[in-house]
Amino acid sequence: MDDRVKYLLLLILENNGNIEQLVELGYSYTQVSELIKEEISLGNAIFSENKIVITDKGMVLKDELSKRLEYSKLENLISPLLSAFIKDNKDESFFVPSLDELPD
Amino acid sequence: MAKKVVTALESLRVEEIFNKKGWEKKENEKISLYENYLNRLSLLPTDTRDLFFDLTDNFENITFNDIIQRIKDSYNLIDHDYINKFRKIYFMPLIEQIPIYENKSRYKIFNWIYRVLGTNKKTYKERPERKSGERLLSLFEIEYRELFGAEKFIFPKSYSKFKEQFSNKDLIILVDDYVGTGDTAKDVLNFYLKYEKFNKKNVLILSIAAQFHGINRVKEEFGVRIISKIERGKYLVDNFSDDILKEKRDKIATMCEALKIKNDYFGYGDSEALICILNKSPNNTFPVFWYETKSYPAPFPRSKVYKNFNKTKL
Repeated sequence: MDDRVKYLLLLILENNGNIEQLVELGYSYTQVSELIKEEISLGNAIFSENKIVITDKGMVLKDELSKRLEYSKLENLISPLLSAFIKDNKDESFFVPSLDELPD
Repeated sequence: MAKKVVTALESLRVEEIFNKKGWEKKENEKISLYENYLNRLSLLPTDTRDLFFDLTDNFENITFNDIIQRIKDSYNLIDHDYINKFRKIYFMPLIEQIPIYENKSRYKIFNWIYRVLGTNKKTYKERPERKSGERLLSLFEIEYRELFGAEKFIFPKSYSKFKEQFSNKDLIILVDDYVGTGDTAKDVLNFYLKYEKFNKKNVLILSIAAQFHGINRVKEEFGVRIISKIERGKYLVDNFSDDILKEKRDKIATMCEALKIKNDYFGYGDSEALICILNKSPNNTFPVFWYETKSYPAPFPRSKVYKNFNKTKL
């Protein structure tokens, strides 16, 4: 799985966020629920008494990912718009590069 | 429509409900009950979702795998003594066998004159669609031999033949998958009971599921029994009262408004039913479960309007 998706998934689990963000990337609801269950079985999150809580292990992993992906503190607060970068899982997507990425 | 929202917690809750109900969660399929259910949930206002889960908890989904067993269960409720009284048992679908009168003239005034003079041309029109009662009956026809009185069963091919064969020592069982308000049953019984051969003693209605108000209405008006294993009332009216009832009804209305449903918020005739049979909900079911548009599929649809759904959405 892409690190960015993993990061977003952990962010969703931390805040009981909207899984539609993952669905917009091209995942089906079934796949998303499998991803969530996987995180729980890995011990990155706990589901009990109708609550979902991210564990310390999950927080450590999230911070690691954040460093690896070089998200600054400000970006940490805002989940990145991944649909702009990720190409897989979408048949008809197209990528618009930013100005400085354009070839000369 | 508004922005879609499903929280991680809700997706786990749906998972729990599916496990509890024994509903299959097909993996690797983009169109499935699970996908459609979450898609529907994502459109509902947040404060109405608890009620939606509650309704789902009480929802009865009868699939192809257990449909034959269900109709047998209903049949087994009939008294053996009662069956023994009859020489033969005929099975017909609970549908109207009404001839349609047709006139050829383009001018309405002539048609009116024909009608007044009674010189209408009588034609039997083919039914426009296959009704669920017919479908169920053809499944029942495949497997019935272990039932009590099976040697007496007859499945007539056509209504006119059946009417000739039927004698006053025989029983006619009209089969349908669902009886809601009893409107269909009323029309069909009106048709049958106008002939002397048929009366309340030799006509029975057999159904997988029925609602109390339909059963009582048919019993009061015609004296005909409806035999059904699953008997349900109106969900909200029967379970809640006064303020809570009003609150729940308001929530349903909010849901319907969010989904742009225009009328019959509580199902046809305010039936408040929670059932789906063979992938088709009767219109008595809350429309929240079956109303759909091309881009927003419903978990328990009535018809397939979203054939191209996977192309447009995913």
